[in-house]
Amino acid sequence: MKNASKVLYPGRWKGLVIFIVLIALLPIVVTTQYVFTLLILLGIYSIITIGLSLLIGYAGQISIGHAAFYGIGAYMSAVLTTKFNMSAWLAIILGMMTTFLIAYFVGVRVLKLKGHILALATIAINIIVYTILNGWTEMTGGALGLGGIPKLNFLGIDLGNQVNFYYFVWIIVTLVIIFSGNLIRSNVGRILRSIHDSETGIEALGIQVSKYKVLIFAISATYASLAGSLYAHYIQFISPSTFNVPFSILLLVMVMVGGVHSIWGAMIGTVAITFLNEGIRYISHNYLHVSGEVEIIVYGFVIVVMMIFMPNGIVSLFDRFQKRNKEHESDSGLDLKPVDVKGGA
Amino acid sequence: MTEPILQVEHLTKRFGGVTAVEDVSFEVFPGEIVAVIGPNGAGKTTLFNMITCFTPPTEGRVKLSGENITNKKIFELAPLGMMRTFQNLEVFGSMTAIENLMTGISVQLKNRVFAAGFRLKSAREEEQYAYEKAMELIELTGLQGLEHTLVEQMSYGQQKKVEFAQTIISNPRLVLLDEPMAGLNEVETEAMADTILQMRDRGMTFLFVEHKMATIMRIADRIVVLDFGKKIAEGTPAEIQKNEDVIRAYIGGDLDDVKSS
Repeated sequence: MKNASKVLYPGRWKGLVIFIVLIALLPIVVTTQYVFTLLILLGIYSIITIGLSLLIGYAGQISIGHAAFYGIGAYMSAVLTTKFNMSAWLAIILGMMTTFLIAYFVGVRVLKLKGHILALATIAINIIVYTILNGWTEMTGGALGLGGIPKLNFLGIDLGNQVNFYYFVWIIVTLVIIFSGNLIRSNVGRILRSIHDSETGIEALGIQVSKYKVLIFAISATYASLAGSLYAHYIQFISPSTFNVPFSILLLVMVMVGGVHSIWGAMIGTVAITFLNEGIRYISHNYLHVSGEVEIIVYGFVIVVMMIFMPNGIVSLFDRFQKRNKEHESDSGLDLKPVDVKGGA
Repeated sequence: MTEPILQVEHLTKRFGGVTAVEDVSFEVFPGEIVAVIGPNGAGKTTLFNMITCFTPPTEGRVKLSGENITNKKIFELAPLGMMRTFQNLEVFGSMTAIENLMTGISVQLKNRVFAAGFRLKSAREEEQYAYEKAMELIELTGLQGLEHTLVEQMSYGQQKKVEFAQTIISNPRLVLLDEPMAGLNEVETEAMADTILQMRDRGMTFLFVEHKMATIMRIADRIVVLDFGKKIAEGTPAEIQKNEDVIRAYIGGDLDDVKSS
């Protein structure tokens, strides 16, 4: 009998190789410090949005509270390294474990809710965490923030160096992509996607849906925690406002714009929105002479336009392109879901 | 006599003042094909939903091989070897036929998240096992050539086949089918009936709700007839065909009126 994964989910590595080559070559082209910083932040944000894509696009559950888990990761790293002199690596792992447990136990209760109510509950989680970060002054430094977070050092390689840290972050992104891709291409992935289509159907097949919802919620939260730790060690200073609800919404916008049903879509959305964000800031500040949160208005507009004309996100453009080019076999690997590749609606 | 695989004991369901099912009892024995029939609104689906733990009964209980399953959760039934299909198809439209079938076998797999994420040997073996099993069922149900088609793009009859295959792929002991032939054409109906008979020969037991009398008479060993929530008859197809209560329930009015007209 043929190898199952080759028959079912072909053409995965090609896309990944293109991605890796692109990541490896970018530092040669990019020389400005500013763009470099953006590329590193992109990597950090991508880790969160990939997790969100698993949760929203595959399992069909929503979260407008992932900035909270991002914050828990960041503050675990920051507090453990600056106040308890713990090893940064140990702090990152402890942060991820703590976030997993918190998300798991919160998820058990919260994921019983559906749709809009679930969205509200996740916002509430975010607000609670934000309030704690703000109020627990002796630990977190409160609104003034927490500084002096050490840079990372990996087996003698100084990750305080911009280029080194860039590669380090993107290697982690690659590992996250592979882990998530494996998950989606397994029976667990099929269970998650089936939840999206029919909860009744999958329950009747003997699967406890709530268990998988909670697990994927906890995993995506753990991704966010990892991203938070990386952020803390990169910027070396954190304050609660970074981890408030607007960032959760921004993450959601990224995933929606890129294409919620695909990991690559999540990343494309992250890139698009991050650059859009910078563009808006630049234009509004230099030409329109307005300051404040102008980007929120643009996001609102972008979401409305996207939902009307491209409900499956930017990544759906690649699908259309593929379909036109190869009717027999399409495997540029840009889309993780075989269903779309094989010819869909 | 052999032990019954399914015992339905005095099941009653009241919705407010309406009694949808009233004191229904019957048994299903291993290897049997039992049909539940009755006019529209007789309470067949409610009865089915109570047996499969979708609706809690007001009174009575259900036993699977002697074990009381009345208040179990839906997902606890498949591991016990009891599976069901739905009147309005509960398939996974955004997935291909083969993926649907592979999902059907989940109950036999461990589905460990971390094993899957790191692609450990155990996960790869499970994947291969599920795939081979699914290919077998694709052939058995005549879905060849449609393995990689999205289920939402299939015809209604094909989707029914997918749901049926996904239900029996894990080799359940007892399968409950809610109108398996509804919406199928003659050829598809016959094919479905043949598959059910074939799976019975492999040791499965079936309880099904259906309206197509010709097919029921052909494949059912026994028939339970409901009318206005009550069991009015039970017997072999031949007995049921001659049963006066049944004829009255279906045609309405008095049997003598029917005969004289």
